[in-house]
Amino acid sequence: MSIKVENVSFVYGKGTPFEKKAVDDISFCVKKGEFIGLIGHTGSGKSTLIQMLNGLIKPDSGKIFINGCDITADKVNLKEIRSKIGLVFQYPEYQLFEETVYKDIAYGPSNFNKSKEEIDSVINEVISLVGLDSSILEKSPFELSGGQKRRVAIAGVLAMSPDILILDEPTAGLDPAGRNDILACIKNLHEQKGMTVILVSHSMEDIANNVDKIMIVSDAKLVSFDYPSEIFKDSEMLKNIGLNVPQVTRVVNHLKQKGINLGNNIYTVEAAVDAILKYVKEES
Amino acid sequence: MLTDITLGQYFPIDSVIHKIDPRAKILFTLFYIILVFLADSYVTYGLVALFSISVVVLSKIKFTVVLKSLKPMLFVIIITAVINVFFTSGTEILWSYKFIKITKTGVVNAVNMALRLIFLVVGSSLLTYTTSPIMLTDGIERLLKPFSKIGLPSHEIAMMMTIALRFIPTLLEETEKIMTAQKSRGADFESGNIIKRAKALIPVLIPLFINSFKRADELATAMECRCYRGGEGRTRLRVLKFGIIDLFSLIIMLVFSILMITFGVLNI
Ligand SMILES: Nc1ncnc2c1ncn2[C@@H]1O[C@H](COP(=O)(O)OP(=O)(O)OP(=O)(O)O)[C@@H](O)[C@H]1O
Ligand SMILES: [Mg+2]
Repeated sequence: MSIKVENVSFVYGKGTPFEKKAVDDISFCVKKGEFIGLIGHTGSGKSTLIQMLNGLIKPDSGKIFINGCDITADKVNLKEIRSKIGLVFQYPEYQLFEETVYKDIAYGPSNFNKSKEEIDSVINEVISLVGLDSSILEKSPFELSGGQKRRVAIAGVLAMSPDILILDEPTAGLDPAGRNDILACIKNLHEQKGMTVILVSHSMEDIANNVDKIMIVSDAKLVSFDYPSEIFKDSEMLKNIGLNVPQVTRVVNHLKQKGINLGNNIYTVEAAVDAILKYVKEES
Repeated sequence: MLTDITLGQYFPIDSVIHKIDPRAKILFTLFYIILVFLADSYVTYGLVALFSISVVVLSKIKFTVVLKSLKPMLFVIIITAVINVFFTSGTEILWSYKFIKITKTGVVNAVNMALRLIFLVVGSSLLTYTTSPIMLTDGIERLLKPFSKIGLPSHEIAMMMTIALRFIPTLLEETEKIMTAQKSRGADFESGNIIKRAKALIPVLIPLFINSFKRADELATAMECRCYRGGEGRTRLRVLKFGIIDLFSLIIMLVFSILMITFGVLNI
């Protein structure tokens, strides 16, 4: 499924003294199967933008096409669109409410009228996808740890078998292991199932390690939408909007200033390790 | 949207009305409410309208915002007016059809009630629009102080009100957040019969309650950690003082009251 966004804008609290422009004339296109990273500082409008993509927020102006279908038009079937676009909210553990983890994960698919057998098999699939043991299914979601709740919430969205997966800072507040697990699971979904993924994050590292393309928003505007290699070339631009290149890229740039040229386009630790090994070999 | 509700909201603007001492403002509002009930003629309604409009203008709050505050009350106002029109007996009948009669007293009563309700809502919303919740509860605490002699826990009441007011927007925001999250999981709050709709709210209410209890617990712990132990011996950051603006507003209020009493009660 593809996403096409044309000149959308949105203002919170229109006509009150608290008016706040959250999305300002943003346009972009995401092709089927792409893995997009969305980054921007706090309050730049990321969450607002992604909530528009499944019709939770209706833009004040502009159009959004999902697979060619205009979801901003009147009388579109939003429920159908929401079943195809899985949206994992920031701190999604707040949405847990059922007696058992099983029932909570089943809430999404049963809203979309899936049969009991379908739900059963999909739950067993997603629970292992997010790295949880199936013994957890009979527990109450409220007696889980924060990280487990987060995974259950993500499983609840995955259980709807969406074609497009949008995650709003899924790793915020998790330990490094939990973070890596969740990112690996997302990457896995993208690679194995060809799912289109949009990952919102504050961490350049998380984004750099995983995505095909990066979208940068700043003060409600889309600043840049390009491949990581292009984005990380311009560290000045990133600094100006309060972001930075990944830490390893900074190290590589410093080394370059000191006369050690490891090459360009290094923004993951693995790439840096390879480049350093190569450099050391060549020098000796 | 839920967060569009303006009743009980504070608008931080720099105006003379905002600067009036909260104690005085609360008392003035109570007075205003009593005075509104004295109004029953063109002159007195004119006075009330003039007074209310001037206060709105001075407070620099947009008229549209003030009108919006009437929206949730519109239903009550209309019902009251309708009941008054149809169920007041009187001698002078304007229109009748079978057992339904509309009397002149009825119409007059209906107009009276509607106008009074409108002015009441406008007046009391202006109080909350122009007074921050903290100032408001500070004012209430001070006004209730004399009653603590007879065992009224004035500080505790004020603290409870501060906390409750403080968390209304948070709760609304959270409700909206949980609702959108469940909507993206296919929840449908808009269609179906009343039972279906009530059921659809369960996935919103349960997390909301659980989070509120958790938050109350955390807040209590946090207050205890900062050695909160009730009102005894507590001094305050902002000491309320009676200033020149308060004097002016008192004079204006007195003039307004005298005019209302002369025209309203004595019918001069
Ligand atoms: N419900 C709301 N009502 C009013 N203003 C809002 C609301 N939600 C967000 N805003 C405002 O809109 C702007 C964009 O908010 P948004 O949540 O989209 O930011 P974000 O990029 O997701 O930030 P973060 O990284 O902190 O999650 C912010 O300035 C915020 O104050
Ligand atoms: Mg956000």
